[in-house]
Amino acid sequence: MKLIEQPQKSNPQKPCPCYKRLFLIIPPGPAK
Amino acid sequence: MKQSRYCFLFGIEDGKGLVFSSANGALAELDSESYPQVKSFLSECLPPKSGSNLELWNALIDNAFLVEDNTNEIVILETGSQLERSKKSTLSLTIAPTLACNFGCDYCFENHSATHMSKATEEALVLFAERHIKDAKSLQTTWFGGEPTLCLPTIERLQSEFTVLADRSGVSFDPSSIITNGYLLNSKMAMRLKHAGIVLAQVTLDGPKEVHDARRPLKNGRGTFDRILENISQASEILSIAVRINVDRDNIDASIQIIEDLKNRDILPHINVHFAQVTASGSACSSVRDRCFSDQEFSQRQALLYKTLIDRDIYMVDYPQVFSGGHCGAVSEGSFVISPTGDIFKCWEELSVDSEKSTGSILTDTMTSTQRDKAKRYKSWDPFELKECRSCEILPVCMGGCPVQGLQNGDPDKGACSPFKYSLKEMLVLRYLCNQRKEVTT
Repeated sequence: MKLIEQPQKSNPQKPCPCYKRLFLIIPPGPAK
Repeated sequence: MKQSRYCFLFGIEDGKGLVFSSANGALAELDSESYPQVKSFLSECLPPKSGSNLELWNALIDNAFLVEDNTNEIVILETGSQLERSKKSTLSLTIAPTLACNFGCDYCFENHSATHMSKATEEALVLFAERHIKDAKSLQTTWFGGEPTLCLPTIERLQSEFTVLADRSGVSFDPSSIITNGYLLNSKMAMRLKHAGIVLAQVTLDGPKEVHDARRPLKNGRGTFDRILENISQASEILSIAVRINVDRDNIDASIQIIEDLKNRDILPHINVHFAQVTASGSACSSVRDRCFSDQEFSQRQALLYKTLIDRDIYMVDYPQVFSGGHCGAVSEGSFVISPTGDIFKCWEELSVDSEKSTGSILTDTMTSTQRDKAKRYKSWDPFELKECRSCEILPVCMGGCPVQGLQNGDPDKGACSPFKYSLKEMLVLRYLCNQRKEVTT
């Protein structure tokens, strides 16, 4: 068995502000 | 042990298989020897007698494809969801400093208003945050509008106030984001936003120049494509840029071309891109209803788009994200959408200067009966009480979908299904293909 995607650690304390418009997880740390 | 109700196993090519958990998002490739073995493990749930397959058996347990017999996964998910929805450990503020916009997109759901946030409202917002931050461990802000970049000084002042407040309260101030049409997002603007603590900007492009300019013109009708593309190029050196492509029947075929354009200009490797479904929500955009895809059509067309991209050596595809809680701000207690006049809304799509549609105001802790009823509707919306959602195998990645859409669809048995409901296997295979081809090319 070769894992392609690791199990995700859910981040339940940070809800997405809007379900439809921002399907994004804000990346931690400074901007690139 | 028993097979997790959120475990998916299916064959792909050359006798190989994929196994996926919608409970935690794990995805694994199984070779032609492992696939039938895993099939047998999951159906019979008997541990191997010899040691040779023990590693495989243990990997199924470690990644929650197999769970203990007495595990009630729905109850665990439900309990986690209720707990997280009621927690106030993150104070999430989505702020519209104005509802004015320089664009005239025909599918926009907002009724624009020229109102800008006043200094008095800014001060009231800081006091509101101060009252609510006491229960929180972190503060999160998202800038929205109208077009928020029309009000850069307001953003800068409030971000600065929030930084001081978070510091004084001993909570972390998370990196912030902004939803913008990108027209004013040149490198100077991007730098000022970055200094204000904003790290992510979502910008919309709706296709190549002719298509985008027809759909997303300035108020005076002039095109916006060239300038936005130049801005994305500049700003992506400073901020993380997520390009959103709004898709409906009119631009679906052209939507691939914009990604080719971004690739040819060497912008694509520096940004993220995703497709989004145009939906006719509210009166402001009811005129576009005929060109919107149904949820099922959209999910199938979206999978086809990603397949076409992979065939053209562009390796991107959406992947299910797992959240164990009410993952939309609309149903989370610590989440607020603030209008320029200081009214509070639960959903971005209801944002307006009409206090009647709000669920409260930052200026007062008292609510009218209408506001209380509205807030209660969101609070009591629960996918676990909807028969089809409760029994759905992808509930952990969907959690009933968009709450406002679920409340509006009038179906007592289900919420608003995620595109993954109709195309999960296709999307997982595409993810596998992306992974495989990337390995070959890198």
